[in-house]
Amino acid sequence: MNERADRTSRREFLLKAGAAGASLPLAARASSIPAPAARAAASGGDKQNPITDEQRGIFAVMEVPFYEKLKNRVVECQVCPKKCKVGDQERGYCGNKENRKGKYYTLAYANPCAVHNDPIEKKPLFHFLPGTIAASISTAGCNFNCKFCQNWDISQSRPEQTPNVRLMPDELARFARNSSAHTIAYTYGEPVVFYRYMYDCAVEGKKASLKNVMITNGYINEKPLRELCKVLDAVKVDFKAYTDKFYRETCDGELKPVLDTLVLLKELNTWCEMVYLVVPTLNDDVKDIRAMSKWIMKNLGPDVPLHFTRFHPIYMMTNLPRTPVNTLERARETALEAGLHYVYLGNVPGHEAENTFCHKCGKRLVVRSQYFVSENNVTARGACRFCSAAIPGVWGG
Amino acid sequence: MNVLSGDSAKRIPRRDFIRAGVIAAAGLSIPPGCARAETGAEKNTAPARPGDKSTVVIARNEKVWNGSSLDETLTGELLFGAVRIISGEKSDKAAWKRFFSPFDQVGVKVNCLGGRSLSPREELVNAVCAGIQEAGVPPTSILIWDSNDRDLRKAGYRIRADGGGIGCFGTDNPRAGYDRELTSAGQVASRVSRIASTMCSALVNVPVLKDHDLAGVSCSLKNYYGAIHNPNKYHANGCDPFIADVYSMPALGGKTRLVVCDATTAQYNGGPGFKSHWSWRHNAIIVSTDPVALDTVALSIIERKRRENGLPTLAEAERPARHVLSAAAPPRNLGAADMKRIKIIEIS
Repeated sequence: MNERADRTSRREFLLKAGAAGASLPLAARASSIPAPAARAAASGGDKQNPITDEQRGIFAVMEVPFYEKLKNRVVECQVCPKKCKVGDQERGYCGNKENRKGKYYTLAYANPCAVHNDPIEKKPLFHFLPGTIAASISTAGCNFNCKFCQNWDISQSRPEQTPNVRLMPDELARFARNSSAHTIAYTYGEPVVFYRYMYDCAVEGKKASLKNVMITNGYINEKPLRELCKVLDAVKVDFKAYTDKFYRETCDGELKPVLDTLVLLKELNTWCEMVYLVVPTLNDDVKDIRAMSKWIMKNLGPDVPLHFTRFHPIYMMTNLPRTPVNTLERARETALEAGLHYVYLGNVPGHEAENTFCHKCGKRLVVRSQYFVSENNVTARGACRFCSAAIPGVWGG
Repeated sequence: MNVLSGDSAKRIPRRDFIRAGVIAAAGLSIPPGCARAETGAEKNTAPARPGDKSTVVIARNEKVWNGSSLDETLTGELLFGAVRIISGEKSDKAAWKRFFSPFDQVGVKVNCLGGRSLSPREELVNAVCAGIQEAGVPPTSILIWDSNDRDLRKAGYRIRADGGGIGCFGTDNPRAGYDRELTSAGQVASRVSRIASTMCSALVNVPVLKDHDLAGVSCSLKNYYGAIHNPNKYHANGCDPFIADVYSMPALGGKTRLVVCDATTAQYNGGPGFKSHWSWRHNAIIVSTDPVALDTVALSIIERKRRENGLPTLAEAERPARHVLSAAAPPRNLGAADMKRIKIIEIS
């Protein structure tokens, strides 16, 4: 996970939403719902009365799609390749779905712990409506446990452990519209684990003429992904490494399902960009990066933007240094040599490789400074303003 | 009285046990490996040398159930008798003082995931709290706790967080929460309940005896999954070695002075949720200072019951409770998993 979620209290969120032009009804409604702790205190929940789900910040307990009922009230989740078999009263690996008497429920629905308006460049999506705003949300939970996760305090928590805001899908769409956002981004944590909420939000977003993008580790099964792509406009995949060893030892996942996801996104013609966080000594081997680049060329083609981003010590990896910039530059050169057209560097503010260059004429098309666009020479129809070459992506036309 | 090892322990009739003052006669003492806590109370114990044995007391009486409740008097007698044996002391006061000092803040960690039918009975937990008070600990320094208020409530406990008398609330209560920082142990990195890490100086581990669909058995060691913020991350590989790693955290196993397993009702299949057709009234309270030894005994009880009911062994069911062996093995050395190193004393 690359994109760090700023921690926003509910009060701050409401202020920001107001400042961004969020609808009054949303703000008014939200402000009538006290935060969990305040609510509990107000109701005496910490004294005589038990605390309800809602007082714990769990607002809507909904049955999830894509699971199978097994014997003895055990369920098997089929959203992601982990396929958790979950006994009665227990939770899946993601921590936000619970088996209650043989039915599988999400506790994350309408229950985001992070809501922000971000530049789309923060995701990062560089070939998708540059310079626009994405209303970005996340709930608690993740189907990985990456030792370098920048958002571990939400991704590795359960919904009742994070401060949440009640936000139904239609309210989110309204908030996005009133914030002048072009897109809703499902991000920060891992949206695959709040699949049902994401899907319903995307439907509401479509109705409000908003785009939908998912920022994901790509660890999702084929059937739910096919269904989801009907309402998504773009996906950014955090590709952890080109070795199964790294996936298993550092992320608690597997490589193969992520490769399958990338291929399926290509097949479904869903716009996709990839991020590769370069972690010193663990996934910075040029041989692996070359092999990955060749795989991308062969299976996805040269037009998939690839972002090499800089690692910062955090979570369970505080023993490693930040990635040297020349390591990132070497990775970029390797990918360009393999034939990829658009290779960027991230978390290195001011670096030339934050900008987009036409693969045909080589001229600078989009000028960025970290998350902000100061110049855009791609036409709304997606052509280079200098040589008219088609630039892959979603540009607005 | 017979004090035997392993599965072959013989029972002491309760009448004889009480009349003969058997504890004194037995001359039992805390295993030599025990260290003394700064407060003067005993720390969590495991055999210190290869020849040492861990003691597990099974206090069992078929009359412990009085309808749908436990007989409070008999429950107290069984528990206090077991604690006297474990401590090697003659009097209740001296026995409980071996484990707690008046200055301790004591957390009683229950496992209430199984609802009212398969959680530690309140009558037993009340007896545990009475025992802690025997050591001079005031009620306001005792807290019954689990991961969340909802589970406690479902199991029949009343949430009490007002600071008057014995407290009872979950880590999700506004009074508690989890540590901000991670604690690492082996392959686990978690935020620990502030109840264990900050609010309490000593813990009593009060699990139930039940089958677990992944770990094989859920008893003493597994109970502390309810003390970390992310237990869902540690269910792979039959929860091994994660259960052992969690228990080895200083704020959890390191603070545990006593394990009191409620085996008045137990379940031999279909856990951790309650399944009436696989549960039975075992009418026992199992006490030890060694969680691994206690779980080894618990495992043998579950296996025996499965055998009696024509079910495959846990190993055949592909959940062989490997975590018990991992807890016993270096580098964790949390206790004895070898029946030859476990002294089982049965009282009734």
